[in-house]
Amino acid sequence: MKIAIASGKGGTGKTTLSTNLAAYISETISNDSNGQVVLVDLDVEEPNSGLFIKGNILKDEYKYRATPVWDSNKCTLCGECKTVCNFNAIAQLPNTILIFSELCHSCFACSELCPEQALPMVDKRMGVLKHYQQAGNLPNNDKLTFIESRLDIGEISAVPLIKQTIDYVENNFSDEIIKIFDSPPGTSCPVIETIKDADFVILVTEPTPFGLHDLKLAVETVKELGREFAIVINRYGIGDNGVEQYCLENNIQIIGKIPNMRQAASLYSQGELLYDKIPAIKEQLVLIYQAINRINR
Amino acid sequence: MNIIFAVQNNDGWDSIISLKYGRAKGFFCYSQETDELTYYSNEENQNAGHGAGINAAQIAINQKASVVITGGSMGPKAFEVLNKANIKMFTQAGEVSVLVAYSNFKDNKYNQVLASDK
Amino acid sequence: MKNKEIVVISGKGGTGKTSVTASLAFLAGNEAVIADCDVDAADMHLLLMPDLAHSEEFFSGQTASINNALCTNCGLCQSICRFKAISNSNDNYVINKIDCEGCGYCARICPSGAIKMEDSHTGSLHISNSRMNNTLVHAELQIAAENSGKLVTKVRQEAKRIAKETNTEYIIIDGSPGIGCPVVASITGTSFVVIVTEPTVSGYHDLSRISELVKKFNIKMGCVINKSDLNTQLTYQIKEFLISNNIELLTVLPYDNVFTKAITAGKTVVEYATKSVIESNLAKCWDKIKIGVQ
Repeated sequence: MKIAIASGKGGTGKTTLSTNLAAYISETISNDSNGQVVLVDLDVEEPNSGLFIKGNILKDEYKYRATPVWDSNKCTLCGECKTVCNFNAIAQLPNTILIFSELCHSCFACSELCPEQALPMVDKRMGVLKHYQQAGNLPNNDKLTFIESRLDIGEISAVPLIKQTIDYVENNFSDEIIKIFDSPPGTSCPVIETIKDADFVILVTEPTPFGLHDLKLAVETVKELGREFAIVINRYGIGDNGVEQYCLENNIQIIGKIPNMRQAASLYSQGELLYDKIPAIKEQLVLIYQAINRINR
Repeated sequence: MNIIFAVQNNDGWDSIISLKYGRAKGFFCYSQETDELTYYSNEENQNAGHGAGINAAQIAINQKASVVITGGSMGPKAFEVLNKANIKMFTQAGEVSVLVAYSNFKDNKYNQVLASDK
Repeated sequence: MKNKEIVVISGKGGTGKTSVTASLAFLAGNEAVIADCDVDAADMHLLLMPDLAHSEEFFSGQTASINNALCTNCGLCQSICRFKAISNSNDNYVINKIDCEGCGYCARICPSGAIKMEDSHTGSLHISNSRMNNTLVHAELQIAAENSGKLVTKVRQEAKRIAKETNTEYIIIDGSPGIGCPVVASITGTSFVVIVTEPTVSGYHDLSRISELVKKFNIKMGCVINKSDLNTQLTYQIKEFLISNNIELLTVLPYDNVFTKAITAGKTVVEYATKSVIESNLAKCWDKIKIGVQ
């Protein structure tokens, strides 16, 4: 069961919701031995969930993507590789083929179309995946696992790392286990990769004109991908009722309204989870979890 | 030798030098041997996501240029390709005509760049 | 006229970057051209209320499409596509435009020439007159578009062109979030980078990441600490960080719901909270920035 937590605008509270929801659910699920929650931080450019959720590191592995390398012995300088590369990642000098792997999209065209097999594909490091067990507030809590992926600075695309992280999670955890994906902000490729196969998308917004404007873009995106979704309003109480009006007019369900509280902001600033200290927030997580359970799997 | 000028328009010797190299509108290649000035459009690079500089540098290589002259800075990728192809680069020529740029070049008014200046 | 491009970034979203940028746009008035480079979630227009004087479509990269009349259903395209963008139902091969990376491999190897590559419509760019007596250049990305930074570069180029034509001294850029290509495209070649941060562990974490990136470009940096009284200890730590990293502390703003009230009323905070500490701090901030770009 994959739940993606996304938003149009940055800073609305995706990570706040992801971390608190994951921790809350892990403490609530019955002592069924299969009961588990996996929190996955897919905001690979700026992963922040790890500031709030700590655990015991189980695995720490580099992630790679395939890029070509030039075999000068086999190359006849025919230039076919330069012609087929649609990303300008290959330059043909008088006696050399130059490859710009940071521009390579790993399509394999040059490698497979080279008549001399002079461009074998090799792995290039793009980031790091870390797998934490017994994560969260409660000691020895086996119910919460935390996976964080971090993109190397200089890497052009977050998409391959997000994809590989999701594959890792699917290979290591069975379908019934609840997986919460903390998405990157916005609506471009990395977000699409994160949410496109989610069973349910929760869009987090703030009740202001900025929040509403970006929420509409996010809603359009989620609908385009045919995902089931609902809204959680964070910092409820500020701004205006524009978001609520919009949801009403468009038959969009609001499954949680997390109240605006200075105490919450203050705890957040210190890297603390909120639900165990603020009952009003825990109440909202209860409602959100109930909504999740109602989804047809 | 052959000299490449990055330009904003296709107007022969009156063309204005481009401040951009990778996404220049086009390039003129001047052959000192034959006194011919030939235009090459850089149209396909206008839409490139990344790597326009690499492709633009490729044009210079394909024309067997020894020198490239551009009006603004040279980005790191274009620099790398041209440098490895032993093509000399002269940047910051400003928005002058190709005629003026060539004249300035012959009078040694331009400094060769030895590192990307972007 | 010397380049006086000022970019406002934050690393992390939600620190108040757009609120600060809009306030600077108001304070600058016709002394600046404004560029909204946060193309994935462009919001400046909500406060600047531009009149959309001119729009143009923007293309970047390509997408494949299959002409079923020519297709012989050999399936070769599907077998080589690394992005799982080609599917078939009842021998009708179709390209999923959202997954298509635009590499062109399928088009090259199709034995019947049934696959064509077309330029992708990535977004739209607008040049408008804002209500603050300045020009706003802004854009938005299409959904699922690749944000390579190219549209950001285009927005900046237009802003520069307009500033030159109108002899406008400053360009104020609302930058992209994160640390990837769009941010790099936002900051490269500018004269001053303003980082808006907040005293939270996330804010501090992203401040150090983003300032590392900016250092590589050797551009002068200044910092605005927003919501400063939310966590005085972290505000203090951030101030120490700024000193040790040669980043000018431009100003400090309090955690105050007047920011939200202002946005909700469609105003920048300097218009809404006149004669307040916030207003005078932002005015001083703008003065410091103007000195900083000399």
